[in-house]
Amino acid sequence: MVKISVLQHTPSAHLPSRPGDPTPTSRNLDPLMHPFSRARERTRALNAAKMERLFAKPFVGSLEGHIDAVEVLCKKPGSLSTVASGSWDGGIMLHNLAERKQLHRIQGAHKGKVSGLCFGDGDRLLSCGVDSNIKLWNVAAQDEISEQKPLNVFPGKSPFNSIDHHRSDPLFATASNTVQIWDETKSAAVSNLTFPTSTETVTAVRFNLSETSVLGSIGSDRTFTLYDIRTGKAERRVVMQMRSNALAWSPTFPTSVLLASEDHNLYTFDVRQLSTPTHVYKAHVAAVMSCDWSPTGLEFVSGGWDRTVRIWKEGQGTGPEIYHTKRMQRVSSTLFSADARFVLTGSDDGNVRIWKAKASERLGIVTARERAAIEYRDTLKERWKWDSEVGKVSRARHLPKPVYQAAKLKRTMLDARSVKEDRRRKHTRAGESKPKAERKKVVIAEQS
Amino acid sequence: MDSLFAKADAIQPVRKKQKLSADFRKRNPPKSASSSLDRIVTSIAPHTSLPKSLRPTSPIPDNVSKHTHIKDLKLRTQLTRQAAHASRSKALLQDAELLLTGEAGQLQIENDMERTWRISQQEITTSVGQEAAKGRQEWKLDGGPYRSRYSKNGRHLALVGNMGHVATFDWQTGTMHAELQLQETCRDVTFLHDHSHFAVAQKKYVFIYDRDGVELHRLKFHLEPTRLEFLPYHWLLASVGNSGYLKYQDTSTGQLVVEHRTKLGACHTMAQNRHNAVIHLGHQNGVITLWTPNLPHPAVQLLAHVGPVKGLSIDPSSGGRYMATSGQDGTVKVWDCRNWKGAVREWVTRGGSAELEWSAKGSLAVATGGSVNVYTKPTIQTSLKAKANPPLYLTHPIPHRPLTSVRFCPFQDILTVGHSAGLSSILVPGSGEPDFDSSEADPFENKKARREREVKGLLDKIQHDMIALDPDFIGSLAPPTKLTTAVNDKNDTPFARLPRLEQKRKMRGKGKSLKRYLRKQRKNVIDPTAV
Repeated sequence: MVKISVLQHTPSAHLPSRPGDPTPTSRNLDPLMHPFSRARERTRALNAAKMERLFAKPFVGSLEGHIDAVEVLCKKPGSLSTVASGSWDGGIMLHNLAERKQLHRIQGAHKGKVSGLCFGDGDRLLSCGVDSNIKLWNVAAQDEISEQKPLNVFPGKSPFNSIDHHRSDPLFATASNTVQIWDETKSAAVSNLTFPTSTETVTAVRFNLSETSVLGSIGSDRTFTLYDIRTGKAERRVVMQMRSNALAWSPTFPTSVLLASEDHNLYTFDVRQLSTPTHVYKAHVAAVMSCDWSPTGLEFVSGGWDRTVRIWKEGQGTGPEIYHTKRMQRVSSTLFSADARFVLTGSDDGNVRIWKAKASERLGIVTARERAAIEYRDTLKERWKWDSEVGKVSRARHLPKPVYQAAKLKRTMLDARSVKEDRRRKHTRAGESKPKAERKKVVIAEQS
Repeated sequence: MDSLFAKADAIQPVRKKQKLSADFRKRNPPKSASSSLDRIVTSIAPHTSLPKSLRPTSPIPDNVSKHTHIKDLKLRTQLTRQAAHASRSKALLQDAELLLTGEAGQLQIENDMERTWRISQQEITTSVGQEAAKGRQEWKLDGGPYRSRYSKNGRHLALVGNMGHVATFDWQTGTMHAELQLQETCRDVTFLHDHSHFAVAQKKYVFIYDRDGVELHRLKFHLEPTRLEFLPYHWLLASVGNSGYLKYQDTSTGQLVVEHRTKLGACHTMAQNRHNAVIHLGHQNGVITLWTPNLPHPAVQLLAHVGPVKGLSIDPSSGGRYMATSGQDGTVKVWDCRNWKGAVREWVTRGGSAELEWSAKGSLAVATGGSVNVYTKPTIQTSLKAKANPPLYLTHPIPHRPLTSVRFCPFQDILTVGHSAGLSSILVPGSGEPDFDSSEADPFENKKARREREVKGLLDKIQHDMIALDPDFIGSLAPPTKLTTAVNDKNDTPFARLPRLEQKRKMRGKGKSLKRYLRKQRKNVIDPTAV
C-alpha cells in the first residue's frame, strides 16, 4: 500500500489564539527563501546612511551673554551641567547646560581678557587675566547676585595666560613668562618652574589627571615642557616646528597628551617617548586654537582659526566630523561635556554654542526597540562603509566655501611641494636625500 | 482593572529615610531590600531590555582562527571578533534548521513493483483527509483557455480567460475579490507586490486593477502584451508583446524604466528567475534570451529548439540553477544555467508543445496534449545523453485541450492547470515548501501585516540597475581589471601607485600616448607590443 500525505498548515499554529494576541511568526532561514538578501541589505544600509545625514542636526543651542569674544571654557569637575566661560571683555559666566541658563555672571572680573579659568574644590572658581591678577570666586548658587567681590586676589608680576588646578590638593599652576605653582591659602607663588635656558612666554599649562604632580606646558618658542612639582623643576621639553596653541591630557590614557598646533594639525604624544608624535591629525585648514578630550578618551574636539569645530576619533587621523555655522567666528575654546554627549565651543562672536557630539544622535528617551533599530543601522553602516555609494553618503559633508577653497589650495600646495621634493630627489645623487615620514618632521629637538 | 491597579503601584516613590527611635527599630527589624526591589524589577522587565552592545558576549568558539600572523593588535582583535561572529551565526543557522517543523507531503511506495504515477487523484483525495482534499478542485468556466497566477504567499489566485473573464479570489476561504468581464482578448494576469493590485495583459495595453477590480492605470507603452512578470524585490512589472519589445515599468514610481527591443519578433513565452530577477524570453525561432534592465542586448542568447519555444520555467529549489524549456517540436529540455553547453537532459513528449513549471521543492510539471505529468528532482537534473523520458512521478489526464498554463501554489502541494474549460487544481504531494518565512511571505498574514510588508518592501526596494546574472556580486570584491599597462607582463603599476612625477605627466604634443605609439610603430625596433 502507498503512504500518501499532503502538506497542510494548521491554522491554529499561525493565527492568534485569542483576538488581540500578536500573530505568531515563523522563520525559515534557508537562503533560498530569502533571495537578494545582500542587495536588500545594501539598500537598507544606504537608507541608514541617508537617514543619518538626514537627522544630522548637531546644533543644540547657544549660550549668549558675553560682550566680546569667548576666550576660555572650563567644566566643573563632578558636575554634568555646570560650565564656566571667560571672555575678552573681562567677564565670567557660569552656565547650566541642562537648562541652557546662566547661573552666575561676574562682570569686569578682570581688566582686559580673562585668559584662564578653572574650578577649585567645591563651588570655587579661579580666574586669571592679562591684568596680572588671579582671583578666587565663590560661585555657589545665591538668590541675589549682589556681591561680585572675589574671595581672594593673588597678585602676579606679569600677565597670566593660563591656569589649572591640581586634581586633589589645594594647589594651582599658572602660566605667564614662567610656570608658577600657587597655594590657595598663600598670597604669593609657592614655586617657580622654568626650563633653565628658556626665555619664552608660556601659553598654557595643564596638570596630568592621574599622575597628579606632573604638569605640561606649551610656550611661544614652540616648546612643550614637562614639569614635576615634587622635584620642583622642568623635566623635559621638546621643540617643534611650529608652536602649539592648546594642550590636553588624555583622561583615560595618562601618558598621552594632545597638542593643537599652529601648523593646522593636532598631535598626540606619548610622554615617555617625545621624539615623535604617536599620531598626527590633519584636517583643519588654519591654526588649531583649542582642543579637549572626551571623558571616554576615545574622541576629542578641536576648534580652529578656520571657524570650524572638528570631532576626531582617537587614532584616526583624517576625516573628522565637522561642525560650522554661518555666524560662528574663529573658535578659541572647545570643551567636551562630562557625559561625552555634547561639545561646547566658544568663539570670537561672543557666543558659547552647544553641539551634539554625534550629529545624528537622538536626544530624549529612546525605547529598547528604537535602540535596537539604531544599533542595527549602525552595524549596517559599518558593514557597508566600503560600498562606494554608502560610503559617499556617510562621508560627504557640506563645507563653507572659504574652508573648501582653503582645503583645495592647501592640497594643491602640498602636492606641488611633494612633487618638487620628488624632482629634487630624482636629480640628486641616489640615496643622498631620503623621504622623511610625516611624523618625524614634527619635533626639532628633545631636551632634558 | 485589577491588573491596572497592580501596575500603578508597582513602582513606588523612594521613601524618605525617617529617623526612627532605637526601640522602634528593634521591634520591626528592616525587611530585606530585595523584596521591595523585586517588585520594581518585575514591573520594569517586560518593557526593557539591555541593548545589544551591553550584553555580555560568549567566549570565542574554538574553531576560529586567532590571526596570530597579524601584528597589528587592533586589527587582529577586530578580525578575530568578526570571525567569531561569523562562526557563531553559522552555528545558530544550523540550530535554526532543527526548528523547522513543517512536514512535507509525500508519496511513499513500499515495494519496487508499485509506481507512484499509478496513483490517481481520486486515491489521493480519499486518503489524505477532508481538509487537504480541498486543494483538489475543478473550476468550470466559459470563455476559455484560462491562465492563472498565485500571489506570492499562495493565498490568492488570479485567473484570466482568453475572452476577457478576469477574477481574483482567496481560494482557501472562497472570498471573491474582483470579477471582471473585460469583453476583449486577455492574454495574461499577474499580481503585483500583493493581492491588492493585479495587472492584466489585454488586447492592446496592460491595465492595472486594484483588489476590487477598479481600473487604476492603463500602461499605454506596453503595446499588445502577451506575457507579464512582476519582479517583487525590484517592484518592476515586465511585459513582452507581439511587437517584440520587453518593457519594464516601475510600479512604485510609475516610471517606464527600460525598454529592450528583442529584434526576434512576437514573443509568447516569458519567465523570471526568482533568484536573480533575470527575465527569460522564448522566441519564435527557438532562441531563448536572458535580459537584465541594464544591458541593451541579451545577457545570454541560446538556441534551444528548432521550432518556436512554448514553455519556460526556472527551478527555484536550486537557486535558479536549472531551466526547463519546451518547444513546439515536442521536446522538453533541462538546462544548466551556469554553462550553456547543451541541455542536461531532454526528452520528447506526446502531444506537442508543453507548458512547464517548477515547484518550490523542485518538481517539474509538464502539461502536454491531454495530461499533466510531474517529474521530480534528482533525475531531471542529472545529465543523460539519451533522449529518454525521466521516471514519472505523477500524471493526471485532463480532457479539455489545450492546456494553457500550469502553476504550483506556493507553500501548498497544489498544481493548478488552466485549460479551455476552466481550471483544475490537483494535489501533487511533496511539491510545496512546508515552512514559510513570515518576513518574506505569509499565507496567514492579516491586514496590518500586509501593510507593514508593503512599507518594508518599498524601503528595501532594489534599484533596477542592480539586476545581474550573479546576484551575489553586490558586496563582493571587484575582480581585477583586465586592462593593464604592462609591457611583456612586467612593470604593471597601478596609476595610484606610480611615482607622483609619473602621475603628473601631462600628455601634450609630442608626448601624447597616441603619438608615442605611432612613433614606436614607425621606429625600426622589435617590440612585441608594437606589432
